[in-house]
Amino acid sequence: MTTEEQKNPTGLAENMADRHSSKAILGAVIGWGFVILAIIAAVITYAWNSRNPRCNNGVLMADMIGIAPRVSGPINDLPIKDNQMVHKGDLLYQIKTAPYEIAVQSANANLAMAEGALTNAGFQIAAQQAQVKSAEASQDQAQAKLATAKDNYERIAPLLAKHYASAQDVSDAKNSMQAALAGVASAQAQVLSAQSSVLSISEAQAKRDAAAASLAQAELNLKYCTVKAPFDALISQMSISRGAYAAQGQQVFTLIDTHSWWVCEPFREGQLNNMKVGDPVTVELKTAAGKYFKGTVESIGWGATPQALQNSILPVIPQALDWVQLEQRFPVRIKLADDVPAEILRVGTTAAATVHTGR
Amino acid sequence: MNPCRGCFALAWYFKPSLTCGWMNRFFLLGTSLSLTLLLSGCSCIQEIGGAYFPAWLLSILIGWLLTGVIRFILIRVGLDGWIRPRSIGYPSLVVFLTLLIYLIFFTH
Repeated sequence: MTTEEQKNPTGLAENMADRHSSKAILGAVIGWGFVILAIIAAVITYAWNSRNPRCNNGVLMADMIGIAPRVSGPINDLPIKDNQMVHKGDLLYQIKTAPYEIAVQSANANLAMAEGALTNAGFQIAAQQAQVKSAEASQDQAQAKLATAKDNYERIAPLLAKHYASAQDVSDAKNSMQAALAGVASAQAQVLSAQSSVLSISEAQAKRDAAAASLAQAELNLKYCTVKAPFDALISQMSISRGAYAAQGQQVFTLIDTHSWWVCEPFREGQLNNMKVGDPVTVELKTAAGKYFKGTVESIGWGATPQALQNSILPVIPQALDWVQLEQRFPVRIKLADDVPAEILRVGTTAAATVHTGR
Repeated sequence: MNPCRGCFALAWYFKPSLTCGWMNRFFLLGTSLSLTLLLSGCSCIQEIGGAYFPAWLLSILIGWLLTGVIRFILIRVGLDGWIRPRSIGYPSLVVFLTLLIYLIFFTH
């Protein structure tokens, strides 16, 4: 038996060595394959993530208005229920109209009175103007008398020197002239007095206008008793029932506009780099998890207050280690497409959104 | 295989290493951290029992489980001992499977 045969009597060891070396090669291929696959997957994931920023803690929002009565009174008709859908123009509630109808009647009567007073004032003023004319005529008469007396005096006075007229006659003529002069002054004063006593019509007119405005307000209040839906909406947070007293300005329920759904996503500042208005968005609403809806970036918030700065008039120095700094978030408003089924749309729904930048 | 032995075997497959524990643990920690950083940027959320969990957490969990399965298969065919480089081979597999699951199921 040779040394070779002693070492390897059946060739088994050589076989084993072959199998071991092939396994070593396979093992290395598998091991390095794992490493290469991991690197490729990491590169793809990184590229996808940076082109498609995602945010999960958004909420579904809609335009909402609080409905509050503009006039107070007991509600005598309330055809709607909480969480109900209403269409534009539908009756929401009716406040008892009787007191407001009476107010309209009263305002109407006041207006009629003011209009009557205005007409009367017109007549009164016409009478006063006639008095002015009469006083003016008296003034003309007095002036004519004065002229006659003056002529008479001027004719008689030169006759005194030639003794054709007595001193008595001249004195009488002079007195008559002076009396006529006083009569003119008196007539002038009477004209002035009559003129100043003519009433102005503007006061009566203003009173009529005020009464007309009161009527308009009363009619408006009557109209406010009937409240109709201003748009297609969903009723929420209804806090009143039929017969209850609705106080003016006190909110009774909320209307959610069903045509204005949008998602507010607080994206991190680092994700806003490539994002722009109009970018397509895939939105997932958690009321229908697993379904994806289309949307577009409507706007990107220009400002946000960090929590530390809220309600503070002094600088806030947070007592924290700041070697880990959290990213600031900005609200991104995403408009939802119209094809989202209405039954899953609820204000406040958790919404996740992926913005597809660079598409 | 009785259930008891099965459990024991499962635990054994997930044991990081039989030879250089500290090194493998180091790499596994690195793997988890890098995966978290890579995926947290766009994590979807999944609802489990009334709470939302990040998708990367689920992906890593499934990645780990699948790695265990693959290691089990490799042991059965006798290749486990020959995987080179051993210290980063399996962690890389975890990374790959995690990202694969993430890319398939959680990107929309």
